[in-house]
Amino acid sequence: MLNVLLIGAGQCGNRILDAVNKESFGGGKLSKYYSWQKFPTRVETIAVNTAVNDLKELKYTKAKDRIHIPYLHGVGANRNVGKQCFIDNKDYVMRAVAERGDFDVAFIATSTAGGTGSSFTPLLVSALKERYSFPIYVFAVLPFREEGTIYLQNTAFCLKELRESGAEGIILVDNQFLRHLGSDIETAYDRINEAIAERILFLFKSLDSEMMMVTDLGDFKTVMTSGIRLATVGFSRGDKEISVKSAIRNSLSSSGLLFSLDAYTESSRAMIIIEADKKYLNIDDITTEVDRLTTGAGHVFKGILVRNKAYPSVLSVLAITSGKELDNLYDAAVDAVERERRKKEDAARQVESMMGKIGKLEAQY
Amino acid sequence: MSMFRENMRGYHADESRFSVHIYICIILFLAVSFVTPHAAGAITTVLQNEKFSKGDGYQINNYALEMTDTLVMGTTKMAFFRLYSVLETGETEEITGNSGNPMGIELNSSYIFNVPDGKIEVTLIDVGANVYIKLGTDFDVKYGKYLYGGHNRAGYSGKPMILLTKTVDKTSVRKGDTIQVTISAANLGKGAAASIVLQDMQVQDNSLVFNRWIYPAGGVIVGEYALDPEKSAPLQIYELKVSEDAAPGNHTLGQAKVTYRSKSVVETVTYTNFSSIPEIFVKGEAGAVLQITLALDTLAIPQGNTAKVTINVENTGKLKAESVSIESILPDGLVYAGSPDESISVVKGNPIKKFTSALDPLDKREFTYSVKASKIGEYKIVLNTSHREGAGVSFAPEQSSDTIYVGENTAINPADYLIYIVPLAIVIGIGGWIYWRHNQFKY
Repeated sequence: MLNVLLIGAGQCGNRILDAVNKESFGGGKLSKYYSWQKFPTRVETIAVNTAVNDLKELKYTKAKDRIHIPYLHGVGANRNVGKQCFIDNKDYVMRAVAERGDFDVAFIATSTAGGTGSSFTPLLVSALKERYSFPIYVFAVLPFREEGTIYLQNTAFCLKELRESGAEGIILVDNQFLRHLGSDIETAYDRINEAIAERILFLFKSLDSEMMMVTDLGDFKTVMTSGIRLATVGFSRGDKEISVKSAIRNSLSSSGLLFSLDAYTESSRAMIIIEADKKYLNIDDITTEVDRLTTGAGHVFKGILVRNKAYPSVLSVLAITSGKELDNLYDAAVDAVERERRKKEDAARQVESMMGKIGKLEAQY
Repeated sequence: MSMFRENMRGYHADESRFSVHIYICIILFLAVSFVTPHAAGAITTVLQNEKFSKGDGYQINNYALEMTDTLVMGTTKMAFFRLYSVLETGETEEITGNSGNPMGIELNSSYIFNVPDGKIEVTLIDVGANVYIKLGTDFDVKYGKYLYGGHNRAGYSGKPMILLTKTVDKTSVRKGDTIQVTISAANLGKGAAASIVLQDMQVQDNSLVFNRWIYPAGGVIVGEYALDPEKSAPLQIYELKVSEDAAPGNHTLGQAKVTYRSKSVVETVTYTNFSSIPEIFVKGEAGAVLQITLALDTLAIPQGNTAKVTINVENTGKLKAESVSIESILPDGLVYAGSPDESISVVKGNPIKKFTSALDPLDKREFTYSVKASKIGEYKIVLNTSHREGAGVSFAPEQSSDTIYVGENTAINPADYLIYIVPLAIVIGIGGWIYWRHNQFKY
């Protein structure tokens, strides 16, 4: 059995963690009262936050799994403050992890834009890496572009630090790309979190199952560490009308992916995991679709889970080599940093000019 | 016939000459076709020139002839008859044999009905203000009666058969005891019995002497005594007394005799029957004597609860008692609720214990059973004890328990708690579970 540690850092990470817990209860609103939590493998969850109100909002994460780092009511999107806060409370966080036993792999869900998650996560990965040998993967959620320059520059620096932290892979989730999931910002956040939770649970299941065609944690690591250690995941759930062929294609399309990517040209490695009843597993169709992806991605790991009476479900993990969207994001981030720097210089100049007007004058009473 | 009457009313109403002609033709046709001349050689006249009214009839043995209607029109004079068979049940079944129609007989004509017993000949002698007929049969007529109101007044004519029984209320007695003798008659025959006369030789020796009459007063039946079929009645009830000189041992009573005749038949035939002869055992001075005690573990039983009844029997006499039987007569409010003693049988709700082995002198036995208190009230259990002694059966004096009080059950049945406890436990369990779960997620 695979031992998985799942940490949600910051408000965004906490909510993703809560969505995963909700799904593990069955997904119902009151399911936590009448159902047991069912993970496909042993999973320990921890929600870490500096804002106590964010922790209070969680509904499906047990109180004992919520770690509050007291720092006023959050770090106010200031990553420098956040990093210092983590350093001050590092032992407390690491003790919470240690109390939960040994793990084979860890996943951390976080936003790259906010304060606590984006500043804690790179340092947390480094800290875990110093003490443990298990691989660590980060679900990094990119912000809506219109959310402001601070979030954009936070994203740029967070991603940079994550890559340097020693994490085996960073799985990108782009809110901007996924905003179509909700009619308003509130429902969009909920749907995005549910989509991430669905993929995380399927990934846990696929990494700890006896498959017809085997993929395992090693394959996953190979995919994730290839290229620039950035990746994303796609998912598609079939039904009576959607064949395994269509499900594979959907998981690789914009309707299934969490980040804007041309799966056939912009990925360096891939892993496709298919779950279905035997009667839906048309090997020719699967082979055709995988071969098609192999042409661009180079190598595709295949895993097939046979489940009676199940319609085809497909999870695809794609390692990103390059991407237009990533370039755009960094351009916007650089621009944001530049704009922030200019604003700061302008403000400094204005302050200096105002103070110069007073010169050596003294107050007269 | 109703249709015929309707037609008649129609005739008087419109006075249509054409209709009259048609009607007469039909009547004549019926007369010609229905009336078959028969030779009356062996037929014996039963009734001669008897006056009949419409709707009345005459019963010959178990046949009933009924005149249903008459017709007088010009020179046409007819009477219509139906013939019925009288069944044992008292009901009648039509056997006219004319496709459901009555049989029309013209004046001065005859018609012979063929019946299982032979022939019945009906001759129409006059039809006018009065109707006169002559009836004859070729079989013996034992019962004949004019039936006012027709066949519905007929009754089944059959032989009576009286069964005479002579019984006693006890067969094992001691000197000075009284014995009630009942002589009853039951009519098992098909016909009513009349002129019932009883002759009874009460005793055969001086061991038993007449003591008193119980029924009828003075032992005399006033008036003629009759008994319908399937009925029974006591004829005499009287008391005998065991004389002080009676020798121990068996004594037989005298036999009773009954004479009677059939109420139905014309001829008087006297029948005779005899009763059975009861036998009485007169016990000696030193027989078996059963002392019986009955005790309950409680005399105050809450309704719905059970109590244990313990019965002890001891033979304090000098002879052994065989076939001892103890019947407990349970009152309405107490119901037999089982016993560890499997030999106890239950008849009409009353437990009966029969000892298969004899009780020797000074022998003691005990048995128990349970009763359940079903109704609130005060009750007593009565014991009827008997045993065989020599050739007779001896009955011990009737014995009652102390008064048993059945009161309201104020205790709560443990099962009643479950009605409240189980749902409460479920609610508390669910509430506790929700509270525990809520606390797990409360931050």
